[in-house]
Amino acid sequence: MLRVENLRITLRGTPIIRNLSFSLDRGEALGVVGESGSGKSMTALAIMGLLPGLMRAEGKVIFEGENLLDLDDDAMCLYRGRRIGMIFQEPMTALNPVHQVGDQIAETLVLHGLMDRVAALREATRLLDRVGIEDASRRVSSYPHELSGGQRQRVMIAMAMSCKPSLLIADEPTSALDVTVQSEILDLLRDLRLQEGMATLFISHDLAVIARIARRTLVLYGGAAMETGDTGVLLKSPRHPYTKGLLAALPHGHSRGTRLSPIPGFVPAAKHLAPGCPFHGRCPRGDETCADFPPPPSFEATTAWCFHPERGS
Amino acid sequence: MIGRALRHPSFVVGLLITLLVIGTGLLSLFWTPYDPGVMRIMNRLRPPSELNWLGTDQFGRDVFSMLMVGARNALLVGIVAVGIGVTIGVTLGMIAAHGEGSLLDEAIMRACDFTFAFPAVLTAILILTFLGPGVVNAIIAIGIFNIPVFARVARGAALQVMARDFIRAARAAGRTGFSIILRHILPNIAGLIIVQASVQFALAILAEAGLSYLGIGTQPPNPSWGRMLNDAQTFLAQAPLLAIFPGLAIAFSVLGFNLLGDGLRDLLDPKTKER
Repeated sequence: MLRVENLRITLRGTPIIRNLSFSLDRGEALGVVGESGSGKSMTALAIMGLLPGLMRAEGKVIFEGENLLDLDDDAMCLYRGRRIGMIFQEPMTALNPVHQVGDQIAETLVLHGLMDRVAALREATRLLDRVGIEDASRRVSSYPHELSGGQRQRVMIAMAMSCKPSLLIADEPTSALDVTVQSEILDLLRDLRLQEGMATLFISHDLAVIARIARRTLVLYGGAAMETGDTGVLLKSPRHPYTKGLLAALPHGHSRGTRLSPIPGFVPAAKHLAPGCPFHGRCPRGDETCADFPPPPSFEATTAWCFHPERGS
Repeated sequence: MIGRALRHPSFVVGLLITLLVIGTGLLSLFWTPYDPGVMRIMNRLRPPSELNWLGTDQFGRDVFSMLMVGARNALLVGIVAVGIGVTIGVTLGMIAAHGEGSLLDEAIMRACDFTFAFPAVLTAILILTFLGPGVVNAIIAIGIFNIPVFARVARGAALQVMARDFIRAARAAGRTGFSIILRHILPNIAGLIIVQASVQFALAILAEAGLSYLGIGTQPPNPSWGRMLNDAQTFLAQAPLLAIFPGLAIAFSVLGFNLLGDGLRDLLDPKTKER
């Protein structure tokens, strides 16, 4: 349903995303994981056609048979909010402080001509109830500052799903919330996906969150895909040195009493990246080939873009 | 909403003062104790008495009647000049903010700088020299000076709002340029514009007073608070009250509008709404 092919995003000629390809089927959840600056959010914005002014996207973003990168702003408006919904990281600032939340949910429905205002407000109440806000008929006329962070994120979700989009892009939707609320929101997103059949592109820096929500995972680093595959397999036996390093840096059951091992070095700035694998400078297995040539995909249990992948076990 | 407004002290006081000024202006259309234009030289420079509640001026005109008619003048100048500034200024500010960094943005903002670079009164004199003296032209000249003030405030505030996430969320929901400005940006900067308007209102009345003093604002015999104040200057030693009354009228109505502006800003901000 969504197929991204050879997506390249550049900022004044500097590549931010390099030849990224992935696909997403109807009703499926794909997790995109990566550090800050790996290009996760820019990928999401490129799909929506909302890249900041100086950035350019090339390649193909094929959604329901149409290449979204070819469409102009007017044509994109038929997709944004209507067929692709998006939720953001900061529920505190992603709602307009001067409008009631019901109004903001109804707005999207009215904007896309699905309902008149009265019906849309009734639908807003139903949606608030659907996303688990208690006393929805009263909350519909609350202002954002009267709600807690978790409630606001639920409102954002209600807004994003109001027009029943077939794709939901969630950009770090739980990163600003505390752990218990985070868990509730993840459950809600999973229920909605299973019941409404919305495909979900779930972006996060948190592998634990991805593991809970996505069947497939794509690991990004420095604007390039590192590894992709079934989330369970990828977490259990990663083949790319970066994924391995990422997992070794996480605390888990077996690591009690031992030191966690960080990946040495820092994420290189986009303009300093060599044409090869962006991870080669920090990679324990990196050599000259890695620096000079983009690594080919190696297909086994998972797909790893690496010259020296681990054998899948 | 109305109940909440009536419990907001500065809004209530501001509203009462403003209504008093407006009421006085309206009443003067039908009734004043004396005809404010008629001179009675025998009665010149009288102190307040039963006959002339606030005394008489150097031509024997009734000060109270002149103040009543002057209220009309002050309101007209304040409202129309600020109205010109708000409508044109905010529109320009929005256009500039929408195309931030573009040639149009630069053109608008540099034109504002250009207007600011000249002393306001000097340019007002220039404009009035072309258009001819009179209250209408004075209002236009003052209005022109209000445009860059509002353009700057509106652009700055709009850019601040535009950087916030809910604008990105609105785009992601399928809204585009103009409707985002109307629905998401303007309501968020309205409070700032209202407060600025109440300040500019006061400045407009004072500017009109200055222009009238120079003889190119309100023309005699139409009374203007500003001109009364400036006329009284000559007789400050003999009749100090003559300067005090129009001064009080200006201060009082400016205070009223400022309080009203403050109150409106608070009432329009949903965060101050009681639970």
